[in-house]
Amino acid sequence: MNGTQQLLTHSLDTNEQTLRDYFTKTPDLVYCHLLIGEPKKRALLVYLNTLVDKNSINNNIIDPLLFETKQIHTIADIQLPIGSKSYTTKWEHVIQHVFQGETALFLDGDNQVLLLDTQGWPQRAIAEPQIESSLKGSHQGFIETCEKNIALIRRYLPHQQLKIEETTVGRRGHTPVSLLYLEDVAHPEVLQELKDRIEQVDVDTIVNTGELMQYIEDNPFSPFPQFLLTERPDAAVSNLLQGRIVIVIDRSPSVMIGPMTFITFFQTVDDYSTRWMIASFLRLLRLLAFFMAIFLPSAYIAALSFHYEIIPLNLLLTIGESRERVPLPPLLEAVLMELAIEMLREAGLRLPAPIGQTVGIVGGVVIGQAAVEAGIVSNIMVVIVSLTAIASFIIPNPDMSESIRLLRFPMMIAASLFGLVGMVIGFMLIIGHLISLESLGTPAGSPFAPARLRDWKDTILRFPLWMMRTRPLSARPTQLTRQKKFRK
Amino acid sequence: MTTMQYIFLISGTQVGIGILSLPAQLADIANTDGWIAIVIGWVISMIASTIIIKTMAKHPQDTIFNLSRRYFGRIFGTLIHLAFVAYTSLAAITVVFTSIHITQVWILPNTPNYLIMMLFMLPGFLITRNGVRVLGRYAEVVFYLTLWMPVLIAVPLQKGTILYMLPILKEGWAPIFQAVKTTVLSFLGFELAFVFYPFLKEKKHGIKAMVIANSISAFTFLLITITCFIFFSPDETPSLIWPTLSLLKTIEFSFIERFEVIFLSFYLFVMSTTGIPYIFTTVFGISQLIGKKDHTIVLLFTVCIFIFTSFLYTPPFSHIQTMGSWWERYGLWGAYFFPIGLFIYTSIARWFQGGKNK
Amino acid sequence: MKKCIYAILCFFIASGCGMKTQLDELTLALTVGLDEGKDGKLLVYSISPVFNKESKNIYEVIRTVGMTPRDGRSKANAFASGKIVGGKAQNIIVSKTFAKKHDMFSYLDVFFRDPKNSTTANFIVFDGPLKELMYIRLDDKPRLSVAIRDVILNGHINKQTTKINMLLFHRLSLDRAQTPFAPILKVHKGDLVAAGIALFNRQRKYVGSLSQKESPYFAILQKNIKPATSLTLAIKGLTKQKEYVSISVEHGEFSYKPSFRNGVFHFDVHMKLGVIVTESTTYIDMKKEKKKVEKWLAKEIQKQLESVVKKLQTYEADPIGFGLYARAYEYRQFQKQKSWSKAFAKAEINIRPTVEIISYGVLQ
Repeated sequence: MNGTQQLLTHSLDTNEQTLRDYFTKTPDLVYCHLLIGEPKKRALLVYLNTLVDKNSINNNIIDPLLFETKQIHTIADIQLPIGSKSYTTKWEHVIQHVFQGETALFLDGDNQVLLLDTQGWPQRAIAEPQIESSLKGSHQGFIETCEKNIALIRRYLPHQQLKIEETTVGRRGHTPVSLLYLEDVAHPEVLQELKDRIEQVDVDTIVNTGELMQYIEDNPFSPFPQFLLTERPDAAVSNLLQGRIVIVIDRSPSVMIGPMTFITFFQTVDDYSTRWMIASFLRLLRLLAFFMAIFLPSAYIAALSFHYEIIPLNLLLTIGESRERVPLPPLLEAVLMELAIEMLREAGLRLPAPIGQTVGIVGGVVIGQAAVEAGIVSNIMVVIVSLTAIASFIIPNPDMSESIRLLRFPMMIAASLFGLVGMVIGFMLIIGHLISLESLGTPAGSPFAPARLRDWKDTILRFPLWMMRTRPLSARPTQLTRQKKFRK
Repeated sequence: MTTMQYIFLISGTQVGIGILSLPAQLADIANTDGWIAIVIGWVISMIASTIIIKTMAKHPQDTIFNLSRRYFGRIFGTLIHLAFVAYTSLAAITVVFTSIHITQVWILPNTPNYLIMMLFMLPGFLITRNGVRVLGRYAEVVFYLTLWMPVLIAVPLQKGTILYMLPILKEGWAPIFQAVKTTVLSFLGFELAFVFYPFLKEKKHGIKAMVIANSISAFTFLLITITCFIFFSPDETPSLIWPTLSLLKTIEFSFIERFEVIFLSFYLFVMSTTGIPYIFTTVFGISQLIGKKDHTIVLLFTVCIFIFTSFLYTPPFSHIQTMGSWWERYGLWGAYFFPIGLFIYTSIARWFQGGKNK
Repeated sequence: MKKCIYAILCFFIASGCGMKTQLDELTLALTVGLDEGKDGKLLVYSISPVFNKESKNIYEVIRTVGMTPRDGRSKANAFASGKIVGGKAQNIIVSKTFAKKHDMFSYLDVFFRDPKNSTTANFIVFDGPLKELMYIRLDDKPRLSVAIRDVILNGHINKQTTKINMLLFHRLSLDRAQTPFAPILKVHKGDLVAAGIALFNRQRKYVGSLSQKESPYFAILQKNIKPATSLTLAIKGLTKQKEYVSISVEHGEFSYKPSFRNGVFHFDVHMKLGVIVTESTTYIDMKKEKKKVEKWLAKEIQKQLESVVKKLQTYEADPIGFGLYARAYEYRQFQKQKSWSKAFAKAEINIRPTVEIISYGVLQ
């Protein structure tokens, strides 16, 4: 329709005709003709009945219009018990707002339209987060409505410095995107960079947060995530306080947080509510899991294919005996088992819960016992593969966990070709990549490279909270002090 | 580049392939007194690096390439530029081929050297491409990643015999001074301050950083040399080519044996912090010479040459030793005599110019 | 750029095969034996584990004739089911007759020169022809190589013998101030027994041995006391007859003082041993006679130690490392000696042990 730039006319009939021309084959669009006021004037209510709250329309619009409206000259005279309303004379706005579930009120003889907020689309109740289950934090997870999500965050930060900037992305979807940040903490350059990148996105629509993330991330060829996706409001708030920016996208139950560093993907917000020794232990465990998940199968392959001499004799004899019937070379054995585990995981993920359990049992029996007894794989390989799988599940962030699982395969190939040297070169490549990786222009390798010793308090170990008096430098906060020294 | 990154970059360049054979070379010349030569070498290298920094501080934004043109005019400047690039490329070639050779001897005896070369060039390319900033970060990360290595080297100490070290100064000072020439060369790497100093953020820490970098290297050299001297008998050390690795062969834990394989694989990190700065300097120098801002194309070209060479030429150990001795001869000039000459020349030149201006 | 990386990867994968030393295809030589066969030829034995469940033996022994161990090994490759490698060798065994005739060092060179070979393998001298050891059937011990290693290690802990790995052998062989030594193994009534210590001279040839009884004293001289060294001493002073007292030496302090007088090296060896009395065939009143007993024990220990040192001197072997002290403290004189072994043979060694009884059990 070429009329979206045009203005409304004073005639109700022309306006209605324009509407009908525009909304063809839209059976859920309701035209409700009313005669209101003294003297009676013709009015027209237009709304998409799939997106509105009908109670609100009946009780708060139609009822007062019919029975309480007295003298009206212009549309501005109409008083309705609805909090959010706006006026426009542009067709463009009318159409956009109607599509967002608002109700448009046309009055004969007036070229202004009253837009009333009557949104009422299908919504899920706020529930426990599914992917990141919370141990000690809030059990409320984000849902698909932007306002509700912002509400969840605001509850933690009732402060005037929490700023929200709204914009939309997508030509068709007009996905509302809100940027939340603490104005006195977040770095303006980082914010501007983020805004510029979002502005440049020119697509139909953003269905889920993960899509936007891929459009705006720094290095699309990196195996590692550069933004954090979370469905927990407490995680979002914790990151806001560190000076990061939270991006809330309407219709998507996860929010996006940036700029992130590599190590932050190994931390959860639960760490901060656990006592520091235990939290530090967990962090060490995760780091160990990171190395195990990437290097354990490849180390096994390397040792068996090249460096048998590093295995102590007794272990070597055990391995020799267990591999005696195995016809496959170590690489194939490992890849086979790893693929089997990956398939099992993927199968269990998509299947409904009752069947998912069956997959677990079948997989456990097939991989665990039958394969060994049949002599296809050695039992040590089974141990290694299971350890690796468990290690990859410990990584708290699902995106990072997936990256690591993927990296394991090239590592195994490198190990089978060059042994330990191949592994070390692979490690070098990962490090070389990580130190040049950036998230919103801030180095992802921080606080290790470039080293910021002060930030190390909250990396591999988690120091007691009262010692972490500054915000991490990796988010480039403009206000560094987080808390005063009030203890010891 | 932060001061820390600068320190680790310089000391990373210094500690590299030399350290694997240093104890044997020292034991050959000065017996178990060789460690004293390291201390002397340390002092000398600190003096030389201070002179470099003093020279560079006169024009804090200039690398040696700009500086040489500024003082020596176009033709002589270009000549010095070329000489420096030739020197660093010689160093890069030596480091790369030596590390390939060591890898082949100790870990992958059946793998052809062109494959190892290709493998090594992957991280080399990735890290060099991103310039000084990433180079600094890399040196930093590698430093942290390799902190466990000196601890491990100290493990055999408890099986050693301190009596091997006695008496101190057994043959007097003469052999020690002879050995200083070797130790001075093992500190090579600080001359890259000619290129990296302009990238240092806090210029006032320049000299302090050089002192710390040299001290880190000196400490590493001392630790390894003394461990070797205590662990191996004095007549045995010179008979080994890489005593440091032979030393590690005996380390056994209940879950892992033959630690030298793991150590050496990890040692590739240390070797990479020696090789990559030299490769970078070479590439950076060439692209400055031909007036290109982005050095990726030159780098790609260099990497291809490296790989292509390795297809055609597998250096025997004697050639590698020859390369090493060339590097050392050249390095003695490049890192010790040239800076002193340059310092004197620039001081005089500035004094003259200053006089003119008045 | 990306395509280039893929091409390189494909190339790697295609060419990667054939450079490996895969465990399945290897025959691990866990024990390597060197012996002299008929007409002076070198016999090389190697024992390697067999993983095949269908075969009756879990290890195989291969015997080849060759010039050097390396040569023998490449010949043995033809017999073995895979490539023979020495990376996990546990024992290197030479027969006594072989060790007597040849410089061991030149035969062992391959174990040091090839970095893939293990340097932590135990070096052992076997008393008798190696055939006896290699084809022995030990029904209660599954793997011969492990059994040999364990016998030596246990013997070392009990001080019945000593142990030396290849690296130490290399170190001692190359040092002018020391000579190598090795444990002796022998087959006694179908069982493996550790039987004392073999001594080598400067030319790395076998020259003599210390018996099993002398081994603990050798260990004490080496300052190798931990975990505890048991000695049984005959003491005459208590009653008129010979009575035996067993002690266990728990710790010791040593001082070796070299000096050079009248053209000979002198060594003053002082040691303070802390002992526990573990057994006594007669009643001793510990309360009263402690000091006396200590003195008797010290005297007896001194006698034994002196006889060990004397023996070493007659063989011109210095496995204890007296030469180290001479070099460290009398460097000029040490350097003047043409051969330390000769000088050591002439050296005067005074050993002055003192004994302190820490405890004597729960009996008075």
